[in-house]
Parts: sequence; C-alpha cells; structure tokens
Amino acid sequence: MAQLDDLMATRLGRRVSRRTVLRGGALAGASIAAFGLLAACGGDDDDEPTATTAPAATATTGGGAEATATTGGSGGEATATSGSSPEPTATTAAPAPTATTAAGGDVEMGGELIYALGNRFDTLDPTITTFSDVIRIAHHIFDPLVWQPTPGEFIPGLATVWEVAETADQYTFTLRDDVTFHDGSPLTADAIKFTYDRIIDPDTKSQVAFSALGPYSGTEVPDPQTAIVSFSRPYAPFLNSVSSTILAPLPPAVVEELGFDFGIQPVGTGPFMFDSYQTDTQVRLVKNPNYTWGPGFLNHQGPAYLDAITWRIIPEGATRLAALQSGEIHMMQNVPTQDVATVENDSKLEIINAVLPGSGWSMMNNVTRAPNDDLNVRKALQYGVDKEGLIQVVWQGLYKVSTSPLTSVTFAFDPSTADIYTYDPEMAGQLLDEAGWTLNGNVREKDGQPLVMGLYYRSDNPDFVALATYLQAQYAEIGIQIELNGLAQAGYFDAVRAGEHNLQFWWGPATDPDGVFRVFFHSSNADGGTNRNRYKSAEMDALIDEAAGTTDVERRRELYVELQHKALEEAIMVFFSEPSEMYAYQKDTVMDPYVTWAATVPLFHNTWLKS
Amino acid sequence: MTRFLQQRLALAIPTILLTSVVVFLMLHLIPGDPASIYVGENQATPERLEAIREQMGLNRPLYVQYADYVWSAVRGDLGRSLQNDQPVTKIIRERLPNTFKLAAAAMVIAVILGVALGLLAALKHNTWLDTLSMSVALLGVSMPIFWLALLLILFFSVRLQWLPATSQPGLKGLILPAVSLAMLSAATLARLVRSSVLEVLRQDYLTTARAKGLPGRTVILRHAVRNALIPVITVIGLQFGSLLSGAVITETIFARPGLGKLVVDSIQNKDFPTVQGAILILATIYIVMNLLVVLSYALIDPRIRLG
Repeated sequence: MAQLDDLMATRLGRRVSRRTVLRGGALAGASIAAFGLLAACGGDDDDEPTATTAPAATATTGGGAEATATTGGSGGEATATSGSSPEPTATTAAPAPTATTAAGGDVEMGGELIYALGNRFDTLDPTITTFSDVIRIAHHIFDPLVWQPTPGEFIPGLATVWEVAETADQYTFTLRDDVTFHDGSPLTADAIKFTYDRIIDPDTKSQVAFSALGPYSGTEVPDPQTAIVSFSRPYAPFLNSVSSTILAPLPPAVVEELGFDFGIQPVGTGPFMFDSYQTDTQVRLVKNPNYTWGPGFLNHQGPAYLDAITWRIIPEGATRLAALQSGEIHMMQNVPTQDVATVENDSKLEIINAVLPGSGWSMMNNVTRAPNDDLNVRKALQYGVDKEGLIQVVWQGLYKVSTSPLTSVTFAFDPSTADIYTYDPEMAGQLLDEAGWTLNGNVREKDGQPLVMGLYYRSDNPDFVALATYLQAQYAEIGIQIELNGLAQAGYFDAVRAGEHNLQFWWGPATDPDGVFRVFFHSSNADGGTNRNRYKSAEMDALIDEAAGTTDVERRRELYVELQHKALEEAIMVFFSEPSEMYAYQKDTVMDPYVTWAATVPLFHNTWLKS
Repeated sequence: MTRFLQQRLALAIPTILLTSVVVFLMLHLIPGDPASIYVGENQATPERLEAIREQMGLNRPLYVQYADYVWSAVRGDLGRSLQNDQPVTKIIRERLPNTFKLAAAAMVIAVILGVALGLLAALKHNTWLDTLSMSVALLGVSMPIFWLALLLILFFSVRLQWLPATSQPGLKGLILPAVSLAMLSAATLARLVRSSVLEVLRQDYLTTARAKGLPGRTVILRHAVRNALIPVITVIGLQFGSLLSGAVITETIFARPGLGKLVVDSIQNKDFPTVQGAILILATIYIVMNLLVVLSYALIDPRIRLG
C-alpha cells in the first residue's frame, strides 16, 4: 500500500506538468483544427472502433477521485487541443470504467505479464521491421510523436504542438523538453532528423517506415525542441504516420554505435525498457521508472504498473491457446477463428474481437490480362460470389462482409457501397453473355477459348488456400474456370510482380485511406509494385494525390468516398470480408488491457495483474 | 586406429565442401528473389528492390558469391542473415543447445522404450506380449507427430496442468516435446530390435551356449543382445542425425527454436547465409555421428577391426 501511496503522490505531481503541456498544445489548437475535425468525423458513428476494441480504455485506479480527476482533466484538455467535438473522447472513456473497475478493484503494482505472439520477426527496430508484431512491442519501448486515440483524433505524444502547412507539405513539431531515452540522453529534434534520414537511406533496407514517410524530402532543426519535416509533394497522411512508433525517434548516438544490432537491443523513450531478446523465442521488457509522458487517453501517464512484460513467440495456434488455458501465458493474439468458440465457452477467458481499419480480405484483378481486362467480366466476378457463405466457410462466420476498399471502421468509409454489388449469379451470367462468353457445357467459351483465370496465392497461408478453394467452386457455377496456383512465397512474389496472374489476394490493414488507395490503385505502384491490379488511370491518380494533399477534412472525406465508388464502378477488386484481430486473455488476472482502435496494438502501460 | 581416424577425417572435408556447393546451387535454383521476399507486400519501386539486392550482395556473379562464402567460412565467419542482419554463427549457437537437448532426450527415451519393447517382443515371440508390443510400435510409426503432440498438450498441460505446453527452461519443459519426438524412433527401433534379436536367437552359437549350461539370462544378455545390437547402433546413429535436423514439427508446436525450424524458415525466406550455415553444421554433425557409430562397432564386436 505504501507503494501505491508513493505512486499517487508522484502522479499528482506529474499531473500538473502534464496539464501544463496540454495547455501548450491547446494554444496550437487552431493550426491543427483540420485534424481535429477529422477526429469528429472518425468518431461520430455507431461503429466507433474504440467501443469494440477497448474494453478497458480508462479504468479507475486505486486513487478513486484523484484518478478520475486526472483522467477527466487530461481527456478534456486533449479534446480542446485537437479542437474536435467531445464525442471521440466520450466514446473512448465510455466502455471502460465500470466493467473493469468493478471486477478489478485497486490497482496492484508489479508482476510480469506474459503475452504470446504468433510469428517470428526480423528486428526490433520499428523503423526497419516489416512485421506488425514488432510494432506491438515497439509501442512499449518507444513513443510516437502524436497519439491517435480514435481515427483522425490526434493528441500530444512526444510532440506537444504541431503545425501543418496549408499545402500539407511541411510539418513543424515542438517536442517535450523533459523526455529522456532509456540510456539517459535527452530527446531532441536531432533524433527526428537522424531517424528519418536513416529510414530513406537504402542501406537501412526500411520498408514499412519508408512507405510511411511518403515523399519525405528532409528535416530542419532550428532549435533542439523543434523539427520541421518537409515533403516534396502534399502529404496529409503524415500525422497518421507519426502516430505509430514505426516513425518513433531513435537515439542517434546509440544507433550509430550499434548499427544493425540496434535491432536486437533497442533503446527508446517508452514506458518499458528492453531487457533481453532470444531470437525467435521471446523478448523481455522491464518498466521504465523515469517515464512520465504517457498518452493522455490512458488514466495515468507515469511509470507502468507492471514490472515487466515477456513477449513469447508461439507459432502454433493450438499450442498458444493451450498455453493460455493452462495459465502459462496471460494473453495471446491471433486466436484462430476455429478456436473462438472454445475461448468463449471458457469461463476464465475473455475475447477481444477488433475489426481492423484499412482494407479487408480482397482479390485483385490484373486488368491488363485477358479476360480480366474486360469490365463486364470483372463485374461478373463481383456478382458471382456469395460473401456470407464464404465467411461462414473460411472464417466460421466471425467476420463482417466487406463492400468497399475501406473497412467500416476506417475514416471516410461509405456505407452506401453495400448496395452496389450483391450476390446475383444470374446477373453475373448475363454480364458474361454480354461480354461474349457463352456457356458450352459447364465452362463458358469465346472464339473457342475457355473462360479460365489463373488465381495466384501463397500456399503457406491457410486462409488463402480456403478462400481459393471456395472461389473455385463458386465461380464454376457461373461458368468461370479458376486455375489454382498456390505457391511458396518466393515463387508467388516472382509471379505476381511479373504480372502472370489474372487474380491474386490481398489483405491490407492501414490506418489512413491513403494507405489503401495509393497501394491498390495508384499508377506509381502498378509496375511490379503493390498495385497488382496493374491499374493505371490518370483520373484515379489525380484523385488519390488530391486527397493526400487535402487538409480540409470534409473535402478529404468526399474525395475518398468518390474514390471508393470509382474503384467499385471499375470493379477493379472484389472485397470479401473485414478482418478482425482476435485477442484472448485471462479475465480474472489481466486487468485493464487496452487495444488501440487500429487493433494491431495492445498497450500495457495501464494494465495490471490481479493476484 | 589412428590411421583410420585420419583417413575418415580427411574424407570429411570434401564431403562438407560438396554439400556446401550443392546447397548453394540448389538455393539459387529455387525460384524467388530474396530481396523481393524481404520487401514483401510493401510498396517498393524496382530501383529500391535493386538497391536492396545490392545491399544484400546478390548482384555479384554466383562464383564470386560462393568463393566469398567459402573463404569467410574457413575463417569461421558464416556471414549475416539476410532477414535480421545477425551473424549466422550467433543464430546457430543460440539454437544448437536447444536442438541437442531435444534430440538427446528423445533419443534416450526412444532407445529405452524401443529396446525394451523389441526385446520383450522377441523373447516372448508369438505370445500376446509380442502382439501388444508390436501394436504399440505400429501405432508409434503411424501416428503423426503433430497429432500426438497436441494430444499430449491437451492432456498433460490443459487438463492435468502437470507440464508446460511450451518449452521452458529446465527438464519439465523438455518432457512433452521429447516424448512426441521419440515415438517414431522408438517404434522403428522396437521393430528392428525384435527382428535382430530373433535372428540371433536362431544362431548355432546360442544353442552351444545353452548346451554348455549357461544360465538363460547370460545367454540372452551376453551373447544374443550384444550381437543383435550392431544393426541397432547403426540405426540409432542415423536416427540421432535426423532428430537433430528433422524436429521441425515438434519445434513448431512446442515453440522451441531449433535448427530444424531455422532451416525451414530460412529456406522460405531464401535467407542464403543462414541456410548454408545451418546445413554446414548439420552435415558436420552427421559425419561425426557416423564416425562414432563406426567406432562403436569395434567396441561391441571384437571381430571388427578398424584400420
């Protein structure tokens, strides 16, 4: 209890400084009003992602009144900062306190949380990794410049204030002056310049962070707390990019000393410090006792409650679940859909089913390859698939149907897209007839050629295999013969980059629509890049670029709605389902787990273990 | 004996070199570009792919890459992984103890179980014990490892909560993986021991031994089993080698990072240096195991002289 009193004392002390910082942010409210509005847009519908993804966003801590005051205070201020409607903040806080606090009671300090991941990864350097699991860990070792508690709502992180140029090609960040890296060195704006310059250096081999930096052209550091980041063209998604630790500032001196070994012993500013890493086995982090700069949407900003977190890598889903059931681990991710019922029936376990923003499970048409170059054929593929049935077969009915390039929890998602294509095999048949493909026996023909499409996918992914098999049977019903080409990843990448496919699958979570439309449809990604539709249209490019350069939120939303309809009219891709990230945890032990709306990141800063 | 050892060791060098050439060429023959895999589904222009290829050193002619690899390997440097930039020697050093412990534990279980079942079946030939032992062996041969492993986890970890489901330091974490890995070898050994012992039991010298009035126990242990062991030892040696490299499924299910899983993961990612390094080590272990097997013949059967 003495420990807890200490904690409360330090927290009260820190609350003041936190408020001061937030007030600083509020002054800059005008300059970022655009993004504040975005917050209101993102959070105004019933599908508010936080509601589903964060069962314990802000639980009350031991201090009762004090703690609530802190939460309310920072929450309110944060809303003022971003100049948005109070709605998002209200939603963030709403689902949490009652459930967990009632069950949880007083916060217990200490303990080690054991969390299981499903896959091995490359490096713990968030600016180099290509694995989202690393970002989950990195959110504890590092801090982002800004936080995004709900889609489009930005609140201070390492930066207290940020200013976006009207032209969206220059961002000025003012950093907190009290932040230190785990090695004791202070955080300065040089770290931002160093980190970003390093990301674009080809020797760094950065992929995800490199994409997130977009048309980066350079950073200026007029004084130690100010970084001016510039772009060669308007880049409105940047604030979204820096709300993830993939662009977290790294300590320059440490990185220079360690080189690539920074990836096995990272040093950041986050609430947990790196302790040990056994490749492909586990990563252990310990509490950073000096941490005082936690995000405003959590109920405390000081040091984490947990002493340590161990992230174990357990590749086999059944084993992961068994380890959870037997109490070896506290929480796991990637619950296989076939095991969801088992978890739901286990009274000791709780499941979090969080729809991912961005884009769902989908299929790309190679529009440069016959017969998929024909719009009517592509439309037939849209009408010819029973998505409900597909989701039942492949994912035990647990996912939602997808009707747009964006999932329903993404900014600018247009619900009216649901009416564009419904399951209608007769219509599909008519369209194929119009295109000149007529039935001869079971397979359609044109000029003596059968209607065959090569579907390419990675055979090491069971979801892809099940999808492919289902589609083969479905499309056979309308006279299309699907040729299955399940390949190992090496052969797969070679084939689809070269454009040998008629069809190929995609799965693309993202937090900003630009990360969907540019990746799928922009001509700059069409030749061997991610736009394996190989779709090129000046009109589409112009729309995507305009949206990326628009800071006006309503205008930006309109552009993305237009883009959704354009992509569907051209029937470039078939969208099947909205994927979820499934987490399971021991509900009597793990208190206040928090999963961000982006659903790829659990935050354990606020989490504690009940004995 | 010394001469024999020298000869065998000298022969090992070309074997290892040949293995490295074959592995090197095969990896380059499999379709797929490591840079392309590294980039994955991320946005990358052809120029950027080229830059990554350059950085990985994949733009040089094959013979240059190979010569460079051999020259470094001779100096004890197996290169760095293309996936995580870690030295391959370090990656292997981390995994080798895991793999050895698992293989050794599995081998011990397999030998005890296999020899016991085999002997029982042979000595109680054509009785219900024989049938039972061989049925158990048949089950062991035909039961897929992943299924057995999951059953063991469900029963001992989830239901009884006696043993951990995933590998943890210490003996407790080793039991389930070792048992599931051992079953196939145990079953193979049981069948081999049975037929080998049955064959020896029919030999004239055993009749002689019995005729001399030696007690049954001595006849069996000193004369029959010892002679029946030669083929069994050969198989044990080979099995140990394959347990080292072939524990992929066990390693995956029990979340044990070992050499087998490393090789498979690295082949999928076309991580040339790691695959080459791991296979080099495995090939060396195989050669050493074979040598030990041959040497052990001389110990068991005085008629065999090495030289």
